[in-house]
Amino acid sequence: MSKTAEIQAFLNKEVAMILRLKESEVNENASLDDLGINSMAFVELLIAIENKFGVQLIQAGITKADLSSLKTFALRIEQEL
Amino acid sequence: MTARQNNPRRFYLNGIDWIVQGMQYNCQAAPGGNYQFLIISHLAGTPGPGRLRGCLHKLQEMFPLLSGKLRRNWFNLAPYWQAPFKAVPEDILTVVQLNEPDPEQACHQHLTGFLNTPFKDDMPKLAAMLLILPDGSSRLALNFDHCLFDAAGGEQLITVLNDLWNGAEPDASGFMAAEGPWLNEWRHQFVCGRTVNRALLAVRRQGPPSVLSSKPGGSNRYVLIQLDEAGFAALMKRADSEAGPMMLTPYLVTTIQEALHRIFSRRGDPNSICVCPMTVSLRQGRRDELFFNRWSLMPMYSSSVSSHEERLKQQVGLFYAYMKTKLPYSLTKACLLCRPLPLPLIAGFSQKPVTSGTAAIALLSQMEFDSVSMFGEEIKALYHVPRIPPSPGLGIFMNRRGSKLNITLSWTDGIIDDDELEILTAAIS
Repeated sequence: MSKTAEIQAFLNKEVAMILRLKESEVNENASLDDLGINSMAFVELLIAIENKFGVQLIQAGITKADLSSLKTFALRIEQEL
Repeated sequence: MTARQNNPRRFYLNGIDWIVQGMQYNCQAAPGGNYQFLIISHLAGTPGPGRLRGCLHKLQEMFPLLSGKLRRNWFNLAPYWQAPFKAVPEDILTVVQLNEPDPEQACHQHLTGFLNTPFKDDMPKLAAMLLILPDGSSRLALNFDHCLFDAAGGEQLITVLNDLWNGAEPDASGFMAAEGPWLNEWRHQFVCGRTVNRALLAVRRQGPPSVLSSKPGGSNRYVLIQLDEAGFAALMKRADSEAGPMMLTPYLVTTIQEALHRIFSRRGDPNSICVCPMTVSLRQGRRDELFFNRWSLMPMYSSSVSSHEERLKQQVGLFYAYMKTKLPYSLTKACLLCRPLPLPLIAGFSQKPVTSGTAAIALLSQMEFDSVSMFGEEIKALYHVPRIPPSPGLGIFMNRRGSKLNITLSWTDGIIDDDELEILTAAIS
């Protein structure tokens, strides 16, 4: 499994947990906003990422384009590793 | 064994519920209403008052704890809400036909009066008011006692009421909280207390917060600001470009704080420190979370010497740091330790380190009641109006409904003047 795929699988699991959905219910192509993630849920996700990969993204200049899907977000995280 | 298994009529309060009881005590000690809130719906038509009254009767029979009383278990000192065996339904609906030349203003007056009407001891902790406008449309306001409901719980109750209207027979037992008296995890509660203490010390290090007024309280007034789709999209765009994507909450907090700093500067307090306790929902999305308070607080602070960029960065950083240290969760656990304290003491405590300050901020980003119609009528708008306790005396409540945003400013009469209200509304809208 590539690093991007590994990160994406982690994001899928975390988003499902935060939104209290089944993993299969998370649309990987939807933007985080469309998935129903709000500020609090997003920060929870960033903290999970920091705990897992040791990278702090809160002030890392993430753009809206980075959050257009879980895949683009996974790619952005990989850049920071 | 849970409390419900021990005694199905006994509902133990969590730590935040006990703090809310303290705020209620403070409200009762001052003139005006209690610690309560309204959920107001603007409906395209008018639901039949007789049928609505019938649904409210059924609701009281379903949930006898609406007519309950606060009690304390003298063996373990845990406070609880005691529900009667059977509730005798009361008439809690007031129907008003408006014939005034300016019905909107008349509505506002009636609703402000309703917000400031305390619940009587022997009446259910829920009341309703139906205002019928000359054009056939209506306003339905439900008045909730904060001791039993939080904002999302109130919306959940509206869902149940709407189900009753539509002929459903919801199972009441599925909506009851099943928690026990939390007489375990003492060590964990103290560890959480340490986290809270550290956060409060950090707030205290900023200096004494500026307060809007030290008056003992009075009637609450409110004003509603509605952002339509275009207005909300523009706000989101600004938040994305200035605070970063998905950072609407810290952006709104910053906007409000900047308006407050302008107000203090106008009052001749140029080095003001704003402490704004912001509520966050801790709901798990379970069905049994209808009653009691399932939220926590984050004390967001800022100084007038910061620039806009610095302040935005600070609020985003604070938000992240509080979430990382699990402050909201820790506060709920630490507050459990306060439950043996008598109410006057907890009332003083609830006024001091967290709830005291400049303004209270709440954002409900997920609607529990998301239906487009209520009691068979199309919903034109649905928003919350909280009654703010004497301290801090000013509250800003935001609820997102689809792609629109409702912002309610609620304040104790006399705390801000008309020009200051204009500063706040201009900043938000």
